Amino acid sequence: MDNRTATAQAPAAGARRDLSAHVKRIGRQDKIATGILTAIVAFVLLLLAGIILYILVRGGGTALTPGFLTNPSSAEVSGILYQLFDSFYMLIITLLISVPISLGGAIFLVEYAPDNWVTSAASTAIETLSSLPSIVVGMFGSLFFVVVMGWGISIISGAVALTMFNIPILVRTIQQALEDVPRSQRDAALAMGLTRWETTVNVLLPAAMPAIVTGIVISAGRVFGEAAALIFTSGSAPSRLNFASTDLMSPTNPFNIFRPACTLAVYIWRLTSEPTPGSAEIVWGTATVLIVCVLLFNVLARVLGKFLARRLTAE
Amino acid sequence: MTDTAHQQAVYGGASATGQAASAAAASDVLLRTQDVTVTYDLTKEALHKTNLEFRAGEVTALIGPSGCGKSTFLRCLNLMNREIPRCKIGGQIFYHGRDINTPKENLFELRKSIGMVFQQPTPFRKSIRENILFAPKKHGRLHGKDEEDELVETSLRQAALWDEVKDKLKQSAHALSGGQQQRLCIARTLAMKPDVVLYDEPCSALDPISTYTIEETIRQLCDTGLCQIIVTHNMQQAGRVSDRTAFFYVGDMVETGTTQQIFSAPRDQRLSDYLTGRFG
Amino acid sequence: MAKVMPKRRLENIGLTITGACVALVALVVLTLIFMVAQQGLTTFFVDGFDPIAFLTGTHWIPEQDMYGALPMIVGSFSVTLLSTIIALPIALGSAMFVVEVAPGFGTRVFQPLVELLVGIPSVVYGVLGLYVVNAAMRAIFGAAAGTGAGILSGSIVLAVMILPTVTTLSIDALRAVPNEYREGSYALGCTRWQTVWHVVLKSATPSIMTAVILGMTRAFGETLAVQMVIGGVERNMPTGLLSPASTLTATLTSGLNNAVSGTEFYHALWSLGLILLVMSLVFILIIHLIGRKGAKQHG
Repeated sequence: MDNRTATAQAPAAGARRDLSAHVKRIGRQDKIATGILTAIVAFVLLLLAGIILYILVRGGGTALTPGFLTNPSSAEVSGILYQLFDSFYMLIITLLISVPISLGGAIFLVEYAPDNWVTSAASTAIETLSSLPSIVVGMFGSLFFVVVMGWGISIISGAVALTMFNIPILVRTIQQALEDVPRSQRDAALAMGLTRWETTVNVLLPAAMPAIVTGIVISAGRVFGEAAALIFTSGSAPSRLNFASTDLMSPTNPFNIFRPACTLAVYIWRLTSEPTPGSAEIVWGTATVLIVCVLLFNVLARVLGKFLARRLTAE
Repeated sequence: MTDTAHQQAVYGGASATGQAASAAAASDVLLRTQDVTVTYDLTKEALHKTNLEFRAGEVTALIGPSGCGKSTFLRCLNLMNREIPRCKIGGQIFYHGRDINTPKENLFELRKSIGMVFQQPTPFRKSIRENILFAPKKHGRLHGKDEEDELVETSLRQAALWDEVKDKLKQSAHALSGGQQQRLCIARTLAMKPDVVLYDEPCSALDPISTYTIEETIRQLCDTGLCQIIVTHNMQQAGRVSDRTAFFYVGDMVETGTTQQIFSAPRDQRLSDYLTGRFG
Repeated sequence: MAKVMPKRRLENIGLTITGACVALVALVVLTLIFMVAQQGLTTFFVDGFDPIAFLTGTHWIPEQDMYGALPMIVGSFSVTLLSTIIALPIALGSAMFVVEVAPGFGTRVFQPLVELLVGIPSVVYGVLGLYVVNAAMRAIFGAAAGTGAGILSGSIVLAVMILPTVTTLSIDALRAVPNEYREGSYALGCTRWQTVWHVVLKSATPSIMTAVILGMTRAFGETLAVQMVIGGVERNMPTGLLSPASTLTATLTSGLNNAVSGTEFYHALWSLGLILLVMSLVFILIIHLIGRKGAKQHG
């Protein structure tokens, strides 16, 4: 910028010619830069489209094969019914554990947290959790939940490991959602002699609900695709389920939380690390199903968030 | 005058009913502060040793240029400053003769009888009716639908909003206009049957007509024996609405007296400069 | 009389319940750190391996009791750095386009699409890497690429994975620059490019650095996608970008599968976990330091 001031001050005609050349040059520079930026964005969009289309094309055929979604993997047309069930069941258990804890944690941090070292230590702990590699969480789970707590390689061990992975994401979204509610709403309720608890439950949470629901569903998409934390906590061997079983403690009862499980993501990992003839097709088919589920979660999050927000302002 | 009489009749609650009682109540000092000091972050003093008295049946205006500590002072009176981290209130605040600025004070009980209306209208995302009933319900004051209906009507009438909303009580409070929302907030505060109401620049976000309606409402509420304290940066408003005025300047309460005296015969140079528009 | 709990009691209950949630999380994190440290340090204090030799040893051959973590440490750092180098210009470029050139398109189209990329599970990236990137390596470099697995393939896969994180955070960083700065620059007659380059980028630097570090944290800890494409060779030091290698996370994943608890091998794997843990703590520390410095600069 210095040289521009210098040129502008120089009175000579030569300098004026310099200036117009300079303007032309920076104009060209500006156009080139904009062109490059546009190219980069186009590249990113192409990459995204390429990734998703490639998976859908490679695996779409297998995924749509009759029986793929409805057969167990041992059947003649190998399917992913049990993995699909395990994935959703694991997700539900994880959300059942992680949503209340995250809600409580976020409410504490936003509403109650005293301004002292205990609070800052707690939020540092949550931050640490968010940056931990998922394999470290899995490794810890394989010792602590599986052995020390005695839950064995099981759905519950896996769900708790996934909870550790999910909590920082959820706490942050809920915290953000609560903080985005205008402060005046909170003050107004407190000024009427209500407790923080009543204020949060009756005023802040309803107002923050659309953002919270969106956050939960998006986090569900992440949990759904997570595998590293599960391999050593809920196992990687395809389950054998008996949907007619009534004994909740039976290892083949689908709803027994103390049985091992193999989710879609873990199944993909297992098939690629121990390939068998024809496993590549199953891998792509499973990947397609996984991607479609995650995309559906994403769409659901947006639709649900918009719907709730509209209902909130309409009533 | 019949309107006012009606309002006195329906305003039961914490203060007295009837003309005679309210006249007697007018001289009662409900709220008195002694050397109230507010500090932020342990060192920054926002308000220095303020002594003021507030009487039942009177409106007191707190005026001064922005940043002078008038809102900070107002937020001491219901201890709302306690909700701000690292904010300390020093000195004593006597409410009905009892010092409330102690750690033991039950904030929830206190704020039931000292209500507050904020600068921005803050209706909750609920129906008009639920906005009124929310806090009384949570304080366990209501028994049965009749009592609820009655409270909704009385409070809305007191805030001069009943006629405008009586047919749409189930509708969202957010559908109301800004002025109506603010009157709903006043109604909501009155539904708690307080004997002190604090207003923090209640009209600064409103148009002139809504402002006028709210000023009328405040004047009429006086006759019920309510002690009202209003922070305003609008000197004309202070002149129209208040009986007494206190002038704040850079964290100090500089001068106080009847509104008439303050406006016609200011003693302090800073106050007369402020009134003549030299600053502010 | 409607029954209402005394307010103070209700408030204490609320405080206790929510406080317990936070305490629980903190307790679990502390347990995790304690356990990883305890198991990981067993290698040195009980099994008697020299920590320096462990960190600098160039061979990881459990069958011969050789536990040198350097091949994985080098592997982890090289894929992290390389993927950051690949992803950063793309992320910054798109962030600049989205914030400065076409803001409407950015919020309505680009950002939601990029967030889709975040949602794609890491195993799926792994599958893509295994079948597509490795094949591309073989096609481009021929025999030199071997199976195609190696540091370069791992870095490319990781670059795509951290791209959305770095992009989204960079967009936030550029958006946070006050518009007055831009208007001031335009008022001086600067072009858009000059404004972006000299004014906006400069004042957003601390936040962009945070974005980069967060991306690196993710790359460093990423497990399955890398494990599937990098080749999983930890016996020797990696010799080049195309040679199969391993990372801390990859060795951990394949090792834990067949380690028996209580053995030296098992403890050595936990020591790798400890390195990962320490590194993620270091990344957090760096982010905090950047944040503090940024806060100081802006008053």
